[in-house]
Amino acid sequence: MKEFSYVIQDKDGIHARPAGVLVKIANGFKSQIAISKGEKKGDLKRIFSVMALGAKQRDTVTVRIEGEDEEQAAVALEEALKNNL
Amino acid sequence: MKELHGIGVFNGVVVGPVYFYAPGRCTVSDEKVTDPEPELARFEIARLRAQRQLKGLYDQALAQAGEESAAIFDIHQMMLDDQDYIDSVRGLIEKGHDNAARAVQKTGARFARMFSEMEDEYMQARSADVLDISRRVIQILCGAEGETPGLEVPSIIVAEDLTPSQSMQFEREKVLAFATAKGSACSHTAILSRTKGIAAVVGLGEEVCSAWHGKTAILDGKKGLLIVDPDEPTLAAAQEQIKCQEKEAQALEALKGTPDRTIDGREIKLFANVGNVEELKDALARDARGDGAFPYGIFIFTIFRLSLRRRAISCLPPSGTVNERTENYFPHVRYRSR
Repeated sequence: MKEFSYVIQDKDGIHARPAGVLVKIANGFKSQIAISKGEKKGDLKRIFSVMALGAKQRDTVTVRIEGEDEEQAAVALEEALKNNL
Repeated sequence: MKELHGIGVFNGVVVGPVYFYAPGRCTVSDEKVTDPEPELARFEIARLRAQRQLKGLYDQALAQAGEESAAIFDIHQMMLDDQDYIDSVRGLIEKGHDNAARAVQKTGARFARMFSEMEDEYMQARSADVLDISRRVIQILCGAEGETPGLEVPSIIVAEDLTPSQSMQFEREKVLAFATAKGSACSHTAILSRTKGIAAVVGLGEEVCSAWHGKTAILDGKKGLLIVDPDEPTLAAAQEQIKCQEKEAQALEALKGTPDRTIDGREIKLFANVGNVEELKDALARDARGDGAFPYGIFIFTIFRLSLRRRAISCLPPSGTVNERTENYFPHVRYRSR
């Protein structure tokens, strides 16, 4: 299991476009990937789920990955978050 | 002469005929199905067909307006691939015995409600996206797919509301402006207009009327005005404004390549705040000396406007308040906050 947190920098928070980028990348991996903001949990492979978190600038989101390709997924998603949010 | 007020989304005054856009509706019935299996298959076929249409729209938008505008159709495809969305429709068909169109309609409404209940204005506007994709699937299921409207002359597109796919249907060169009865500054008409540089006014209200089709109108994107059937003096004033706009645009073009200097002779560096390569190319074409983003993402300016009336270079900060770093960087420049 791999887990990491990230503080959203983008002033628009997780809006449609970066959510789409994250979801696309997440769907490329076999592992289960969850994203949470405080108490709220979402599935990073489902775009409505991610957008429903309503993650804004300065919010901390935690990504939890479980599966055979969790290492690669963690690297890719952390990179994606840094580049897009 | 009828004058309506709304939210101005993108500056510019245009004069032209109204093209009233009212896509056909198809009625969704409440009829239940006895056997859900064929209905599930119908949904899947319609869903895949919608995906193909969205892919086509993506390619078209990419060619016409660039990646930023096309992205929304990518999001739409992802929404239609979303497992929660699909599970919801299938559940309604299998367990509730709803017909496919009704199941899609209910699902669309459910997800739209989720978005509209969020605090963020941007997220609220996204409910229009989920309704757009649902409507697309419903129209395929009802066999009522809309025709592409052909514009003969450059027109002001007036509609109750416009989804991204609807706005895309019109030839760019034939669109003078967009005007919608509904919509906010975060709605798609707004976002698309800003990206494409098309004057637009949204939120004009219920008085927007199909009887205006073909009539001459003035749209002022800055003031948020739509004037249908203007009288002579109003029309003449608008034509004057358009002439000034063109002169100003030409004057700004002529400033390209000249040194960046304030009135009192101080050399400054003009940067632009860009978010992607397209914007960078655009900024460089307009003579920005580079990207104003510092390593930790501190942005200084968004837009620069060189005033013809001999004012100092005014910097318009994005949020309407002056960033204190901006002041420190250019202490001798008089600035105006909006």
